[in-house]
This record gives sequence, structure tokens and C-alpha cells, in this order.
Amino acid sequence: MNWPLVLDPASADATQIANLSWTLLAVVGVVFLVVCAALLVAVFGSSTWRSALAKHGTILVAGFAVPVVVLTALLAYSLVLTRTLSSGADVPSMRVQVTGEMWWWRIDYLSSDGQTILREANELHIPVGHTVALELVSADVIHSFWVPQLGGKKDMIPGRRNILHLSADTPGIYQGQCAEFCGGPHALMGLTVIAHSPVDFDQWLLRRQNAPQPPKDVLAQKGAELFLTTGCAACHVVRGTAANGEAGPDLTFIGARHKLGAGILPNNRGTLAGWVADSQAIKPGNRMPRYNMLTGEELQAISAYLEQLR
Amino acid sequence: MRIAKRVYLLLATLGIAGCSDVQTSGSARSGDTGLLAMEDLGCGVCHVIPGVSWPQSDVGPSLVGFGNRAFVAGVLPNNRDNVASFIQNATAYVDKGAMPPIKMTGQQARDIADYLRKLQTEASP
Repeated sequence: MNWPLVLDPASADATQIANLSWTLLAVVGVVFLVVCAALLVAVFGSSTWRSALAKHGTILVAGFAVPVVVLTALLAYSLVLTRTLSSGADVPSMRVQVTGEMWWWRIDYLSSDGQTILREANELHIPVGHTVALELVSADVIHSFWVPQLGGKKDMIPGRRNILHLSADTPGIYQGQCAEFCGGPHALMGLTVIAHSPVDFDQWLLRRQNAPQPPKDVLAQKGAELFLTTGCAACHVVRGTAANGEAGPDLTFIGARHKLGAGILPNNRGTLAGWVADSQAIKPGNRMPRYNMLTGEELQAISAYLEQLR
Repeated sequence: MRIAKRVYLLLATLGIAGCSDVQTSGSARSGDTGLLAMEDLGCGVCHVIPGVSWPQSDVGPSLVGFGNRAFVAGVLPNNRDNVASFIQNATAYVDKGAMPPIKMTGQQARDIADYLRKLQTEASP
């Protein structure tokens, strides 16, 4: 899987955070070198140097006063910086509720009055240059939403609704990751953010509000039938069909996603088939059981059906 | 010998300061093109493949020692063209099998075939 890029910012907030990280690294680097030098003097230095280092005044200044000044300055700098990060000066033009689930993300695009206009999973689409207000909630345990190229990290806490403003400067695909240990497959709880130009985003949103076309080829039609009869529909929604289970991710447009299994696998017929057959071998402990009772042909049909849901 | 003691002291101090796990980055993109193609396509979702660290699933046959195998899936002689053709469209050869056709470029298929055919069975101890 691809881990998120951490110090490669693509938004104003992420740039500030990256600057803070580099500043801290530079200061810490200087401190480290000074400490190393003092250590060398303490071990190898002449007795004059060593006694100078051991003086009461030296310890008071270098061991107490300097750290107090340096750490206070860094604290002040980071507090000022994070104040502008969380002040929410930009008026958000869009609301999206992101629900942390063990171990995936439920994504609801909301109207201005809070109604869900589109439900998806594991892939967040946003328009470039707009501030999006993410309403972060949890369905079970504490998760943390983190797309380091686009902004800060914020926890999803059961019973609370935390707001995180997110924006992107340029169209692209950004990788995210759950950043709070939430159980076995936590490290495999990834997320993809796709930033479109505003025009493309509007088209995407309109397109996604319709259900996909019914399958045309025979194999995929058989897959559609199996999806309903073998149990897939009990946990997954495919809009426009009888599949209405809410326990797992919405699969209405699964074939169009960049990644599978919550941002961790490439998406093609092979990975779709392999995930259905034995997701436990890939993401141990996730809540989807093995489907190893299917025949090879049935698995083929289901993967053909899922692939054309786009 | 006093110097040696001092060097020990220094190394011990630095050793404590330098404790960490060494971890390789998941996004390093260098190496055999066939291996990279298999990572991009997610072949490990069904096969154990030497060189692919994750995922490693047993949905399909392990490809350890693939280079020693006489047949591909028991039906095709194991040569470069047959392997490249099979991995793109397995159902053409095993119509009731679970491995679906997988979209890839001809170059990717040939690179993967070359990589797989180099895999030798490890000598038993």
C-alpha cells in the first residue's frame, strides 16, 4: 500500500504544518549538535575545558536558561501557528460527514440543511480551491482523520462531532490514513481524497447521485444475481438494486474507486475477486467474512459485476 | 586504555540516543519492473510471490519456484509468451477457474512473466 506523503503539502494549512515541522527539525538539529559537542568535550576534553563545562554557571545557563528560552519560543510559535489553523477564517462551501468505522470510512455529502445527498465510502471527493467542512464522527471507537498533504489531523470521538476544514490547491489524488490505533487492522485503514476542478466536481456529484446502469454482459448479470443471493446485499448497498445492507461500505460505484479495502489495494477484477474470496488474508480481523464457498465461476461473475459498477 | 573506556562511554550514550526501529518506506519505487508491475496490479491479493511483502494470500497457488514448473495452471507449457498471455486472460485457458482477466499492458505482462520464470524452488535443508 502507499503510505501518505507527510512533508509534501498541497494546501495552505498543510504548508504551515510542514513549515512548523521543518522549523522544529532545524532547531532540534542544532540542539543535538551542541549536545554532541558538549558530550565530546566531557569525554575527551582537556581538564581546563572539562572543569569549565562543570561550572555551576555553565549548568545554570546551558542546562536551564537556554532550554527554557528555546522551548518557550517554540511553544509560542506553534501556538500562534495552530491558532490560525483552527480559527476557521475561510467560510466552508460544502459539508461532508465522515464516519470512522472499524476499519473504513463512511462518507456522507450533506446539503446545507444537513440532509445526506450522496453516500459513499473510503474515497472523499472535493473541489479545488474550496474549503470543505468535514464533520468527523465515529460509529464505534476513536479514529483519527489524517490526510497530511491537505491539513491537520483530527480525532473522531464517539458521541462528539469534530469539525475539520480541508482544502486542496491543485487537482490530484491524496492518500490519507487513520491516525489513532483503533484495533487490529488499524494500519490498513486508509483513505483516498480526490481533488477535482470545481466544474469537474459538480459533474461528478451529479453523476454519482444517479444509480449505475444495469449490467449489460451475461457474466456481470449473473454476478448481480449472485450479489443478492449469496449474502453480499446483507451488508452492502448498491443503489438501484435490492442490495440495501448498511453494515459495510456502499458499493454503488465500487468499480470507479481508485483503491479497494479502504484505500489499500489497487482496484481491478483480480483484486476484487481476491478480496471477496479471502479478505481476511489481506486485512486480518476486518468484518467481512471469507467467501470461499463460491465456485471459481461464481467469483468470476461477482468480480465482473463489481468492476462494471462505475 | 583510558581512551578506550572513553570511547565506550561515548558509544553507549549515542547508542541509547539512537534507539529506533529501521523501517523501509512502502513507497520506494525501484527494482525489477516485473515485480513493480505485480505490486501495482495487486497480484499478492491471491498469490504468495517471493519479493512481494504484502499482501500474501493463499486464494490461488503460491508462485514460489514458478520457474521450475513445467506447466502454467496445469494446461500451458511454461514459456514467456504463454505466461504473459495467461496472466492477462486466464479464463481463455481455464474457463471454470477463479482467476479473472486482468487489464495490463503487454509490456507489464512480459515483465511479470520474466520475473516469475526466474523464481526457483529453494533447496530443502
